[in-house]
Amino acid sequence: MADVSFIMESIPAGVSPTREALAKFWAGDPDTFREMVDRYSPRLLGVTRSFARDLDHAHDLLQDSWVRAYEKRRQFTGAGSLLGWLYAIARSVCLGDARRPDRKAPLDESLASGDPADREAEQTELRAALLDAVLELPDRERDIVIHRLIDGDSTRDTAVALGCAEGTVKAGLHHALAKLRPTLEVWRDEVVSRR
Amino acid sequence: MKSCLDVDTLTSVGQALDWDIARLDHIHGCAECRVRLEELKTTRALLTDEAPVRPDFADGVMAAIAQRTNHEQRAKAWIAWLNPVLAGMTAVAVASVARPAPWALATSALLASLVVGWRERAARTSPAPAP
Repeated sequence: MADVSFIMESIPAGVSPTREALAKFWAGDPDTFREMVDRYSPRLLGVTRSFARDLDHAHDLLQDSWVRAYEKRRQFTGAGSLLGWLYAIARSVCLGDARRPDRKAPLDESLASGDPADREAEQTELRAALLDAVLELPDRERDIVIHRLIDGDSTRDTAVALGCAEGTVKAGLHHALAKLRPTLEVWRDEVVSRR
Repeated sequence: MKSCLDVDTLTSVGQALDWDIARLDHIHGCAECRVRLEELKTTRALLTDEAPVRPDFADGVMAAIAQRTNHEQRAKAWIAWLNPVLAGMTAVAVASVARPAPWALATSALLASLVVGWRERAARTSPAPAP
């Protein structure tokens, strides 16, 4: 078995998934990896769906993301959130797919017409842009957003999980929101214009 | 319609505000705070969006990983063969230039490289010890 002592030391106690589960994930234990697939796939499908043509395509992108996560699992140092790391991998897979020459670009076509299906496609594109902005945040800020907004952790719990001061968490959330603001404003304007 | 919050929710809100309840008035009256709250809500909604995954999805992922792992092992085995074979071919070239019993030397080098390759391949494809 691979030496997992360094990752055990780098993961704070009391985080979820547990330190032991993360160490097994890092070592490539199939049962643990499958548990992670079961646990995080519904949320990651929310990411890949934003970039995909349809649900089948979203599942394909998600599977590619998990295969890449397995291949790159030893690059996960345990210093941040596993979900954040998985989000980044899913985003990278989706962007790689979007760069393929045979990839369809629904937004350009949707802007030309105004029927509801095309507006749905346009909204999906906006949603992808917003999600992309979140995933483009620096690792620390992205992890803070994930802990505070998704997991619902307190400032203190987030600080413990990420091994930083509470002030860093507060400042990180502030900076993250400031960086997301331009995209959020486009999003808000779009929603308002439809009312 | 009146939609009062239950006591548990009010407790959570009070704790979140460090019991400085007057700050609620500020949120109510401050357009900027309300916009920030809406931004946080949108971001949260986006990141917590989940979709039902196909029932057999995890099986497919694990099968794809197993397939990829096997493919990589086969590729490594071929590379393990390639190095000694290249070494053997180099030995043949050197021996043919050096002349003293060149074919005997070349054949020996080639056989040695094949044996080394076989041993490396066997070592790489043997199952890893259980964790």
